[in-house]
Amino acid sequence: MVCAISLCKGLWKYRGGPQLFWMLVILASLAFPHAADAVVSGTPAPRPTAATEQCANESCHAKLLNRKVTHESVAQLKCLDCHEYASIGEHLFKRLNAPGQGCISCHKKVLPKPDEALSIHAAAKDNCVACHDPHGSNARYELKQTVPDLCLSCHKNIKDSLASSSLVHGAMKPDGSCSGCHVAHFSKLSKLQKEPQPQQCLNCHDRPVQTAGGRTLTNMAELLKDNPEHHGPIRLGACTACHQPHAGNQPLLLSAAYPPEFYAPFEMDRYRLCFTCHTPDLVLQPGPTAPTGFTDGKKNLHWLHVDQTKGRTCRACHEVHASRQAFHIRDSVPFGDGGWSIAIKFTQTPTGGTCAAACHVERSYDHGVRPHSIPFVALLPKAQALVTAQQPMLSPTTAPVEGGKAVSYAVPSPPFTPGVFPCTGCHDPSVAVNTQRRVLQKPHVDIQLHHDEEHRWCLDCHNAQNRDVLRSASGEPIPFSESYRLCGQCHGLQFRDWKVGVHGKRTGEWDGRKEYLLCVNCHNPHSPKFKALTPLPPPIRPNVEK
Amino acid sequence: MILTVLHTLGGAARLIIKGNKAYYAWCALLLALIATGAFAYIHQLRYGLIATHMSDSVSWAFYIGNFTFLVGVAAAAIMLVIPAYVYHWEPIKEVVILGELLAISAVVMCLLFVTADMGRPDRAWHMMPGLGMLNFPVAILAWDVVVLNLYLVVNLVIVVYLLYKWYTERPVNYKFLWPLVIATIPIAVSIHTVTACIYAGMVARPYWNAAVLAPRFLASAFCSGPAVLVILLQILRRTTRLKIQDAAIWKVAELMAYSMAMNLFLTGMEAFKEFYAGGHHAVYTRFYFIGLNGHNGLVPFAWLAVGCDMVSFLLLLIPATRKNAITLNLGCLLIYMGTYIEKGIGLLIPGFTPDTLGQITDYTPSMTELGIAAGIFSVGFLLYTIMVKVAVPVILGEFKARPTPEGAVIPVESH
Amino acid sequence: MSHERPSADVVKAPCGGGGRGNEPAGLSRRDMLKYTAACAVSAFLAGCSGPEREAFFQKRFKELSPDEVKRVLARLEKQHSEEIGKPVTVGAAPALEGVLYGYGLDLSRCVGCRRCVYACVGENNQSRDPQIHWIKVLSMQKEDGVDIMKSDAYYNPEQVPEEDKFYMPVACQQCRNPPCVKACPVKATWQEPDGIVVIDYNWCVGCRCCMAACPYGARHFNWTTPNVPKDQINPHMHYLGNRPRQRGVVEKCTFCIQRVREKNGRYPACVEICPVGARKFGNLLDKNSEISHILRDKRVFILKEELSTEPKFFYFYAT
Repeated sequence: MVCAISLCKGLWKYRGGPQLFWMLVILASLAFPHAADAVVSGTPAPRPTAATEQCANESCHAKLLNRKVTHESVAQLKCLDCHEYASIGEHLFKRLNAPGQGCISCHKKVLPKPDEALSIHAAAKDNCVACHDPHGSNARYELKQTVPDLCLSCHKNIKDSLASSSLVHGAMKPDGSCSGCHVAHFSKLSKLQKEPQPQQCLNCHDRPVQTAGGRTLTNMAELLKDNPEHHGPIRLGACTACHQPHAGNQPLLLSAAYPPEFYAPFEMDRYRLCFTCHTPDLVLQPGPTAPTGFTDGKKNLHWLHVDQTKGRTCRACHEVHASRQAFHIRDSVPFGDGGWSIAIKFTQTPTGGTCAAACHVERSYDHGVRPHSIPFVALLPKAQALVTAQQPMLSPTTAPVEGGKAVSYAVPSPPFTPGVFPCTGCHDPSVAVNTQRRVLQKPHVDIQLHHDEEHRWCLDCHNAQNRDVLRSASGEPIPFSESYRLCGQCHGLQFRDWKVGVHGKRTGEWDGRKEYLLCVNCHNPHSPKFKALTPLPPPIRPNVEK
Repeated sequence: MILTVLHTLGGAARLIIKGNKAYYAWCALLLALIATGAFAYIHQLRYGLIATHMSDSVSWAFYIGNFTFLVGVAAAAIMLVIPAYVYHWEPIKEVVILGELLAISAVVMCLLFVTADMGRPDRAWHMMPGLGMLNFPVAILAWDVVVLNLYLVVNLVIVVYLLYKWYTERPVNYKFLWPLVIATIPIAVSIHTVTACIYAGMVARPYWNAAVLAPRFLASAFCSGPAVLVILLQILRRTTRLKIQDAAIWKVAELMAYSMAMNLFLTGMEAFKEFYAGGHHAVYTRFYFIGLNGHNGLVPFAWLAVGCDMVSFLLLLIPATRKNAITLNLGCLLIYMGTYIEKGIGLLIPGFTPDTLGQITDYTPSMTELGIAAGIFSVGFLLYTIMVKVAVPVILGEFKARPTPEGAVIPVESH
Repeated sequence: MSHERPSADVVKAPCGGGGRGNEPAGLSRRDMLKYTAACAVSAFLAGCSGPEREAFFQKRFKELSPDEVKRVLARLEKQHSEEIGKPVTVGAAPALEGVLYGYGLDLSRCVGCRRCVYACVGENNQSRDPQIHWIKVLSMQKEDGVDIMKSDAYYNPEQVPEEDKFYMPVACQQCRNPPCVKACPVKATWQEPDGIVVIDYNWCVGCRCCMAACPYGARHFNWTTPNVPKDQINPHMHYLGNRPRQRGVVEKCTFCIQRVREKNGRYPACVEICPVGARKFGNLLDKNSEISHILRDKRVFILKEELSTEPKFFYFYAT
């Protein structure tokens, strides 16, 4: 004390000493309450006000270190990698989670670059901790639970279908099952698929597979390899068009009714599966106006073949997966119970075909100019959505060019918000459509219509019957990949100019492969007027004072 | 032979070295300016033409302005031959020689200015016929290269021939000389016309793209060139034994007044056309005389030039002032100043302001440009001084190949 | 006097003894004359290395034989690769047959964002400081119409387009009747068979006649050694196009000659960048090209048509 007093006296004598003295006094008085606080509360060691390596000592956050899997920053005791002070001088911290901070500042590859993904896991976008424990856990990748339990805790519909279905896909059985087909964060494919179909499926079905029910499934890889004429969904990479990937009640996990026996009488309900894509008119219309090329100009020959009572149906002539003949027409038909089979020999001609003697004597048909394959319009909306959804990103499609060279132009896919397509993912077709004009609610709050909004609204362009396609003014379904046909109905001049390359942006080669953009790649369809831009800097004035 | 040449050169050198204080001061000043110019040019070589204040908008400026003015001086110097011939002035040969020498110095200055303006002077050989690739006859600049060099060569031939003959006291073969002297007249006209055509041929620059440009060039040259000579003749008359009649000088001054009248008339017509019609192309003339959007740096110069032209015109037109030594010389100086502003500034800068895309870039010459220009002018003046210093004694017969007894060589009289 | 050669295309390499290794056996008389006449300059160049001397004595590009062109390109590639520190290619692809390039610019679309200006700078290795821009975007008052004398190249609002203005980018108009080519005293600039007006940067003497003669402000001078950061150099170069320029020479837009003369031909950089698709490019001789459609169907005008320069750069209004 004497020392302190003499020190103060000494200090007081020096120049500037008084100021220094009073400063010290003020500082001391500021510190006093804290010191007093510590003394009064009787806490032996106050909680640290700065994060140090002591956070994880025995008396505090030690349990963070006792996990099977520990986050690297935790293991290295770098708490401030993820936490920041909420208040200086108090033991208050908060997560670093402003944009660009937090998990994403280290785990850079978790989110895709623009245009890199068609689907992004909603939880991955802004809520990493929905699945991961940021300090560590006992499951791999610091996941809060093991897969599939973790996944099913959110994806209730799948959990329910697993519980209620009679058949469960074998791929769902092993631990970590979901990750066999799906990736966790984002994918270039829809629905976070790991690989495109059919490759994904063929990873297992490249050998005969025994089912739990004792059935042996065909080696599909071999079948597809040996039989070059594939059924449309396989060509489009959509095994899931017919099969449920998770669980179902139909045999072979089919997604709709399809009779297991070969000769089953033709009733629409028994063949629902086929008619989710194909229009029933294919079979039901007797006349030549039916949407098919299998006609002699007088009769619809599908209608002729399909026999309601005998059970001659689609599969009597067509293989479901693949065959060696055009239109995946099967090679032979089982006949009777004796294991006989009759060969079918179909020969395709430019405007028709011939079926050699088998079921009947050799017969030919000639449809004139009808297209060979089942035309697009004969497919029902589901099939169209299938086609749209399965287009890989930026795959070349053909934009129409009138009078130009027959060049195919690359058009990027429509700029969907990642994960939003297909629309039927949310818009259940079975729910009645609300045709009331209204302010949109979640998740479409971001859509504000500034596109002739006085006269137009959503369902003028969007198809209420099938959300995965658009509609023309006349109600014709238009896939999203051809939305220019819809825009062109009102904006005819621009459409005409666009087709010849005068409206809109062209990139690529002036004398070769050109890349077109869809109208919606530049114009927001809901608010098509261009937003103002910030100009780049003006040139520097030639300065006289160089 | 070699000895003779050396002897002659030695004599000439002695003539050049000797002089009074004023002569030495004059030469020292010029040498100092030349050194300044040389340093400025080294600076420009090191950093490039960025050392100037030219820009992509005003891409030709002070150098080319001076070039244009000096082409006029070079052309007009020889034009004195015409009146001398027409009016049978007594000291015709002196006038011719002095004019030729002025033409030579002016052309040398022109070439130096063009070189200073070139981005790649190291590639000047690209312009040499045979060696490089002269774009003749399409490019007017190619014509200019041809006629300027031709003019330089012809003048050199005449001067060297005459001086040599007089120096060796041999008879001059006028059958050889006169055609050459006469030929210089159209060539003199052509150098200035071709230079005018460089500008007049540019469809991009409405300020220049006018038929009246070449006549205007000639008219203003006919005042500025003789203005130099009139002053010069008076100086020589005082400092040497050269006899020049007053009448000749007054006649030249009178002719200058007429061409100044022509110049003013043509300029007036230009101004009328631009301002009265008031078309798009008037912006350049407006910029020069009135200013554009606050850019009016040239306006004082424009009116100063007009004032100089007017006053000098009156001074030289009225016989009383024309015959008065002070007002005569004042008139000549004003003419010189007026036409220098007109050609050096008033022709080039408004031609580029606003530029072809309507943007205005202010231009004032940089120190480097001023330094180099001063250096080049000094080279010209020094060259002229030296040549006159040698030529006059030759003309007067004071400097000869076979000198009459020692001491008879009378150097230029001290004054 | 310290002679610092005002040259940018110089590699400071040790002076190789013996000059060009692959010199032809016999010098032509013309060559001989050249070498003799340039003796004085050789003294000036004393201490210069082989490539430097080769660059100095190089003939005009059009006079070079195919072999000489190869040698020149190899020299430039080596030189620029060393300067930049990464491999560059300097091509000299000739004009394609049956091609005459034309350019269209839709004034009803351009928003004046200047994206094209900087795309061009990057593609064509224009000097950053001092700044050279081949494209100048002029803003004009709608009420004045196209009036260049009332235009402003230095506009800088927060956002474009501005309500009462429209924008007119101007670059080389690639005239069919180019006044700049006429003005050049050494034939250092000429029109190629595909209509592109080009410059031989190694032949230009820097007199700037062409700049005075150009009615569109399209020609730009390297007032000092151009400065492009090494990491921003576009290594895909053309002799007549975007290769690094030297100090003291003129340069201009070449419709991205290094791109458009490739096989199938890429679009110029400005066309690719334009965010509103206002820029159109193609072959005027192909009646199905975009530019031909524009000439047939749209209201088209050319800049300063009264000068009879006959540009192949067409301004049009799509709507």
